Amino acid sequence: MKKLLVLAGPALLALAGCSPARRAEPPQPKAFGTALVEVGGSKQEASIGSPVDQPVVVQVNDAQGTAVAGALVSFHVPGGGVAAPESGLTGADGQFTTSVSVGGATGRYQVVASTRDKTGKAIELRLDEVALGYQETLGRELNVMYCTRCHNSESTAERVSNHDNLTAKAHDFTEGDVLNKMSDAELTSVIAHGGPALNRSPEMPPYGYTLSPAEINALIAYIRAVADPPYRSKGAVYASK
Amino acid sequence: MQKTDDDFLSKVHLQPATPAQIANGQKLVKERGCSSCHEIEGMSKPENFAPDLTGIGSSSLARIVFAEGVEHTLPDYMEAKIQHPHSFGKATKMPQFTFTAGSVDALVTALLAQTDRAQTMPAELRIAGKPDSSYQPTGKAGQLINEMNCFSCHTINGRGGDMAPDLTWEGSAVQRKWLVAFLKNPNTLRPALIRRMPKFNLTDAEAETLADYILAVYQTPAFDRDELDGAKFTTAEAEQGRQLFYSKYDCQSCHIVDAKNDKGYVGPTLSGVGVRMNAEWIFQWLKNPQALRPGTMEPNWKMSDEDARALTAFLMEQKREATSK
Repeated sequence: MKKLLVLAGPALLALAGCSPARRAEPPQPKAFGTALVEVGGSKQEASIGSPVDQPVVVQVNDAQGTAVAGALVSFHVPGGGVAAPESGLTGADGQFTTSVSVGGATGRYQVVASTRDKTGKAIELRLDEVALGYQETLGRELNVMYCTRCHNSESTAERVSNHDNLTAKAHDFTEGDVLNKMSDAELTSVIAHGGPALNRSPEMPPYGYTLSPAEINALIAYIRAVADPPYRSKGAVYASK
Repeated sequence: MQKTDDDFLSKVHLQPATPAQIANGQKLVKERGCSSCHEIEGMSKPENFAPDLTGIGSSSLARIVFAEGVEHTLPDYMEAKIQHPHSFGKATKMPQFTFTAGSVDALVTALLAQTDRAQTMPAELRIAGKPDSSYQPTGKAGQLINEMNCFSCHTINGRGGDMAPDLTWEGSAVQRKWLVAFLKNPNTLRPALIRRMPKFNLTDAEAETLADYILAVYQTPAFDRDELDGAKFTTAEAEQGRQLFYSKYDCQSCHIVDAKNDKGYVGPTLSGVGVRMNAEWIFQWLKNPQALRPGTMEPNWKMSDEDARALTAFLMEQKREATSK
């Protein structure tokens, strides 16, 4: 029977998220703030149905901007995501930490954090997390193998970024305001034939003989998934009269 | 107290076996099929001892005999059979394993994948597991390779770690003089990498033995490393290569040739590549890097022979000794 439970897992999680009967009674708030701000944990990527790497941390502040301890913060992730714990009181630093799993569908999940002020008015904070499907996850792996050294300006202990060594700075894949304007065909051209294909920098080499068409599509799917602001497909484009 | 093999049976006191016991033991060994896994002298491996599991993921429910209390689905049947084989009858020969729930789940998943469709799946859609390699270099060099634990970081012939470059074809790539010096005092070729090869304090003789072994044994069958003579390039070719390097292919975005002006540090520094690598390797690498090192980041340019030759000529001119760090 366990097998079937595993298959039905995402659906059950979704149900559990909505069912008040399952939810533990939230504690009583000891204090109230007037603002809810993010400390960290938004805009992370995770494969569908799995938790994001870093915890989501929010802070409750009062009107003076001072952290409020003992305020009640609750989380929910509409569409099938899970926050655990779902609610709790802020610590001495005014912060509350939870871990978030994205739901079973590819796309963006909003983590809705909320608290109430003295009058009972709800204060909400919405944070985005990205759920990567199969194609996007493949794209992310290819990104790590071939792209990230130039396209990500952040260095890590494992690799030093080459971003600042380039004359034309490579676009970070999250740069939605630039990359969203490029069609799939244009991205394919640049990846397959290099920068000069679109009259851009020759420092972007052609990967058309290295990556298969399916891999290039996977990379584009990943680029679209992490774009910020989010990418909205134009759908089918028809010739105008 | 540590037990040794000698005192393993010291507290077990068995009566001498009777012929009846021996006969019974023999019968049990036969019934349980011990010899299907264990070598037992005088006993042959039983044939058709356990059912063939090919295509079990597609077996029809009508053909399955379910034990009592088991849901009539294939996954439930498999799970019950793996967890409690004896609930399917005392005569079941399958042993009672003590799998964890996770292992049972993984086994059921693997068995469910053994469908008829999997049998006819085109080979190109299959993802083959990496076969284990028991490659073991021999001789004095093999001993050195084992002593220095080269396999912890380097892969050779499918065996080893992925922290450092694969050395399977290293003998085709590098020049002897450089290799001996490098083995004695490994400097870094990739400025961006934080990992460094340790210095092993090899003697001259050890470094030379190892270098000779690498050069003789770790050669690709794809080409002859001495095919292109690095000394025979013309200045015109090298100059053309310089222009290709800096304009057409923009190699400086990832490689450094001139340490004063070039900044790229994704790939190895090329300022001393003319004393480090063989011309033929560079030429072949430019034409299809993935053919020499699968998964390498350098894009495959499908470069023409002419361009590759000119670039090789330019690179073979780069003979500045890399400063050791």
